[in-house]
Amino acid sequence: MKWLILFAMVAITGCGLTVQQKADSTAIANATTESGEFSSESLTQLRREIIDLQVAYYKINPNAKCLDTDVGTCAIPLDQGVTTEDLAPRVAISDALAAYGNAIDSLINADHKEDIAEAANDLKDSLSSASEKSDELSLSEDQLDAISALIDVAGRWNLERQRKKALIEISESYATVIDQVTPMLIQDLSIKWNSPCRPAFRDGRADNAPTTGADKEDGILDVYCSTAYNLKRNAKVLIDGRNSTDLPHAIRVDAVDAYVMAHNAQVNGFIISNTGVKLLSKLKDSAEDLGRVAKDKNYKSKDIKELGKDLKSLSSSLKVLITKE
Amino acid sequence: MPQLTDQLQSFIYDLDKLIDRGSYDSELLALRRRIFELLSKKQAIEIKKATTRYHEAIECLSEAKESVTRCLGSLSSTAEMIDKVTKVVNAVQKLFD
Repeated sequence: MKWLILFAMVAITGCGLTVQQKADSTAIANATTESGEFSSESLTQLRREIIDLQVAYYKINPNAKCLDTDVGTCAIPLDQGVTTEDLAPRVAISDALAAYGNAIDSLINADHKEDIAEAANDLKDSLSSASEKSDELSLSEDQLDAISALIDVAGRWNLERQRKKALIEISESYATVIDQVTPMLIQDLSIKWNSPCRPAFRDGRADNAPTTGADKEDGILDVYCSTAYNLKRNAKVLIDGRNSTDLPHAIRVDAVDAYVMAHNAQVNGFIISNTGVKLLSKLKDSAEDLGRVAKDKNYKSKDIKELGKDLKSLSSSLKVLITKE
Repeated sequence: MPQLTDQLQSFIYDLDKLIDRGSYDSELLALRRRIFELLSKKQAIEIKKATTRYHEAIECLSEAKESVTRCLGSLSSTAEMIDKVTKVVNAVQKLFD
């Protein structure tokens, strides 16, 4: 009778996620976490560096006399209008995205194995103890091992089935969130076709530079790039201008430092844009896949494979960023 | 029609070419500074508009968070259920003791 109950338990639990389904879902969860962390760190860093670029601009430009950070009171505020009020919801969204990815990862991979194994062992011990004391329940060691294995499997299957159900349930809201959030982050972390961070525009418009491109609203990285370019041009005027030979040494030093700082910012801006847009775009393409992966064990997605590659290239791309010191 | 900030950026590139050719003429430099101020102001307005959209997205994300929390809670209760069943079985076994 007990055997029948145990087999029935196993039979009714159904099946959970396959190894491939788990791997694909985990790839999406990891990409979500990485995208959130990357966006949060980048946006915070960009605002800080906009202020640094502006401070350098104020140092070398005698016409820049206003150091107030409030928008409206200065022609060019220190933070270029990217206030902490603008940054806060962006960082909140990015952090939430990272937390969302972590939560999905827990949902797929949280390891209850030890708890279940412990429970199975407890049961085995109890049955051993019972078989010693009752004539009615006489079970061999092999039989006891088989029972505990079945309980273990039944427990795991039930948990896996719950995992699958939960993943399908959240996949719809996940797709909605990704669909809404990624375009905003892409707007902030991408650059326009004629951005001064692009190689063809870094020292002014090059002769072979494109003359048209896709429309895009300005984001934080666009502000960063135009700030860097403004500093670079002002530094160039001092270094190469008609009075450059009469320039006091200290001002020339500031101008050269500012020029290098601005150029590095342009290079970094280009790297951040390339990396961020690639990752966030791929995440957006894969958002719908979470539901499909959870529902269909035979579903194969190219986007998920690409996500894994992009995550690897993310860290190597960011290592290329030019540091100040 | 090109966006205003694209046009302003384009003016700046054109002015920079003139400035380089004209030995850094002070009037051109002053004009460039004014156009850059306009560009900065327009960019700041676009950043503000996007900030409003971020605030709206935060509300959407709160709903999604509830869904994930509910699912994780359900998984946790499944694990608890397995523990409970095991305890009941243990209790039943004690009847044999």
